[in-house]
Amino acid sequence: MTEFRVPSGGRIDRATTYRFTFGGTSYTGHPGDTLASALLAHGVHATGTSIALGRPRGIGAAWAEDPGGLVQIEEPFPEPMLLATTVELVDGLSARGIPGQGRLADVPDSARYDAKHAHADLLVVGAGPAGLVAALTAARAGARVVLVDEQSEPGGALLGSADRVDRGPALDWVAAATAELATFPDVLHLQRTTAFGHYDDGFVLALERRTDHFGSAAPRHRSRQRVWRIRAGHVLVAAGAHERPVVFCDNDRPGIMLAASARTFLHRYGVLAGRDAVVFTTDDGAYAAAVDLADAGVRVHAVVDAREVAPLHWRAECERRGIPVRAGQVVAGTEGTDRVSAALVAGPDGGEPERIACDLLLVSGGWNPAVHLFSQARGRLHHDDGLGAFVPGETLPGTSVAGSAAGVFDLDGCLRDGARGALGALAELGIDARGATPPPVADSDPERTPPRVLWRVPGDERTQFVDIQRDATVADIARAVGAGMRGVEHVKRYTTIGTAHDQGKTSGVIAAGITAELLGVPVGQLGTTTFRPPYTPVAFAALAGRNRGALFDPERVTAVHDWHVARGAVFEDVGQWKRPRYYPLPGEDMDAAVLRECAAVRGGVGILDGSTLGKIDVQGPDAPVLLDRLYTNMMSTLKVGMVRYGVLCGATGWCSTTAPCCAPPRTGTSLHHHRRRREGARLDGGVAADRVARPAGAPHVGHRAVGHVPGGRAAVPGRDRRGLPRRRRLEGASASWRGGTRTCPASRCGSPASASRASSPTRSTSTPGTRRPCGTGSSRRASRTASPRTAPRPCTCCARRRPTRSSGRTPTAP
Amino acid sequence: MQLIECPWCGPREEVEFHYGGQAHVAYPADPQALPDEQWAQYLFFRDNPKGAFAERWSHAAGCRRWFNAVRDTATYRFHATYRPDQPRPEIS
Ligand SMILES: [Zn+2]
Repeated sequence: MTEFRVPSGGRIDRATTYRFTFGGTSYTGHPGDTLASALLAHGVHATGTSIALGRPRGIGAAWAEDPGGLVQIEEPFPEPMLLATTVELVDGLSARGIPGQGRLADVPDSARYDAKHAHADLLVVGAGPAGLVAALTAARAGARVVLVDEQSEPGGALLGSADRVDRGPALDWVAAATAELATFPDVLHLQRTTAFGHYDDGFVLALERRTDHFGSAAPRHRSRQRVWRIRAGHVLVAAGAHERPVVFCDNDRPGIMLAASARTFLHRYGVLAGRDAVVFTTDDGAYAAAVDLADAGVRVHAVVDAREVAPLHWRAECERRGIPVRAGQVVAGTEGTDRVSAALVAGPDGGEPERIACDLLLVSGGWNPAVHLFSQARGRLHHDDGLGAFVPGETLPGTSVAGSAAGVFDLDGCLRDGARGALGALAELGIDARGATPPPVADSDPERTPPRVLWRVPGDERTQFVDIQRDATVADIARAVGAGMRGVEHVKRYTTIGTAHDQGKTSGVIAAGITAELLGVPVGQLGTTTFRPPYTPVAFAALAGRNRGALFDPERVTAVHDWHVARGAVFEDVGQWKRPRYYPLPGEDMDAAVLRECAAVRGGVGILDGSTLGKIDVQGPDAPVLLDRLYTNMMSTLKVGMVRYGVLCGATGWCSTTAPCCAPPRTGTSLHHHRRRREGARLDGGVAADRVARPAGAPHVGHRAVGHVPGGRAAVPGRDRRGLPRRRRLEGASASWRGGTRTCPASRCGSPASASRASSPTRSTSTPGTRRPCGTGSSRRASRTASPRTAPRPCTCCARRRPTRSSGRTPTAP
Repeated sequence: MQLIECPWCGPREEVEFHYGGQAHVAYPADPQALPDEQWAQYLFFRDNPKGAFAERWSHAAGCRRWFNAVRDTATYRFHATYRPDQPRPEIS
């Protein structure tokens, strides 16, 4: 029995009934419900307890600004700390309330997450009245448009109202606008997609929730969430506004709710948030909630208006419905245990408060424009004293704000402001928008009585909650100010206000206002804390996307990887490469295998898969000159077909790396892989610096397979028909091995003793740690393969390479 | 993430680029003739202004060419990018 569901209306499918459990109790709901609206339909307000004080907390708003209604989802997809107001109801949902914090599921996340790029002329954030008009205007002008909106369907605030546009129901206009947008091939319209971060040059990250609303019927091939990486020429923020509460004593009880949210629960979900309501406001907007709820059958016992004079139009509307309006009074406190049971209404001069019994207390302290994405782009805010709100205080290139996010709080104004914002953006983008049709019109609102800025009602500071999620009170702010804090950023960190799950959507500006009051300065002078991404929480799994497990960092294998595997190679990770380390025979450990391989190379010939090493191919008439400038030793004298080892230095004299250089058939040099990127850039720099008379190019050729052939019998006498040194034919190696370069057996890296001998056996000698001119030696490797023979002697930087590569890798010398 | 205008490729994401320090630092014509102090000046001493600064950048994950840029070190804004053979543009 859903006793709080009205008989008709709302955007829910009453023909279908979903069953779900909350805290072990079974309930029912409908497609179109959120978990919050379905609970409220059963009269359930309280969802859990607070983190520090254990006070009962409940649903306080209808969307992401709710600081109270945190739940843990158990089924169908376990996830901690979601807002009941943003969880779409699915059949079989199982959830429970939490004591201020949730816990991660103890089963692995089996879902898939991905990312996608989008490029647009104009990104519109928010598909409310302003955003829809803006997107339509731009689309009609031929612009590429991306429109994102975080709700399950477009309409924004219109979903929770009975407004009319162009003399018809506003939602009919929304449907028509959405249908028209769908006809443009260059318009990307995404619902359930939250733009959560706005970065440089029109870069916006948005999170699309793609499967949760299907429940257990979610298609398995579909990624659960997707991060959209949107780059737009212009970003138009039409994200609406958040209603803000007023702080009074015991303002955290379940049953205390933002006024417009109760209106949304009524119009969108067909749910009455209570039976006996009191409305406390400082602004005109809450009257609409009072009137609509009264028309739907709620007994509204009072509208308490903190202003001296209540607005004429609304006073008359209330009188017609028998709703008492108490101008110049405030709600000073509440009573109740698990749910509010009475509001304590006081006059302007204090005195004994009057007790009005209720099960629903609606609060409105005015509106905070959702300027988060503007502020994230370093847009400055300024406090509009007339509106009682922080609004965008400057114009930014490539970014603009429209609708109630810009402080326009009436529907007709939002429609016009959306068109204005789009035309401004199109002009900046150089897109012709002459001939744009004028925006639709809405019935103009009754004349607005200026709001009163009221942050808090005097009372016991210890029970006046500013950040309901953090259990932070006015007393905490007073303590911070008393301790010498003078800036909102300091107060935030001292009190933790605004650092919870909701990132201060309702508490941040109030904390600034109360701090300003305590300091005796205008709130506009004090300012707000900086808005930082993400706008709403984003799971790490979504940010990681596909880059998990084996895809976190790609594994690279050489052209002859299978050959290594077939011979039982033990691999080591070298950067992204899988490099064979040694090839143990049955019963061999590493040392035994390495010794055997060393001996095989020493007496015969070996082959090293050098494909994992970076290669840089230097081409052009002046390539030898360029190489001479990079190496400390002469490379331009290198004969075609020969290889020479060398040291590369910068102007400072520091050795940056060592690398062999080979000449045939093009000039090329092989560098250690982890150095390749930097050295490549230096080579490019050498080209660009014009220190070489004629150009030389230096493309990376990191994917070329290379085999180094060391060993006592690596070379055979004579030359081939091309005049190149003859090479030993290597039986048993695959064709991929052919064309490899012979390693220079001993280096010429500056060590006087290391004269080059073209066919000498590979050195596997060094004295670790004693000689390290290149700073790149690995004493571990060198010592592992050290041999008692010592001459001729390469320096450790070269010995480091050769013993491991050559001796460690050749099980089958011919 | 910023867009950086490569003189050859056009605007690309900043992760494609590599920083190369101050631009227009000429290699000494005759390094051997320099006293140590002046050689050290060339090697190690660079300007560190707050505001417009001419820098070398490499489009490392793109065309891999080097170019110069005038960038505001306080705001990160790129005022201009230009080829290495072009003079530094006047930035007001
Ligand atoms: Zn480029």
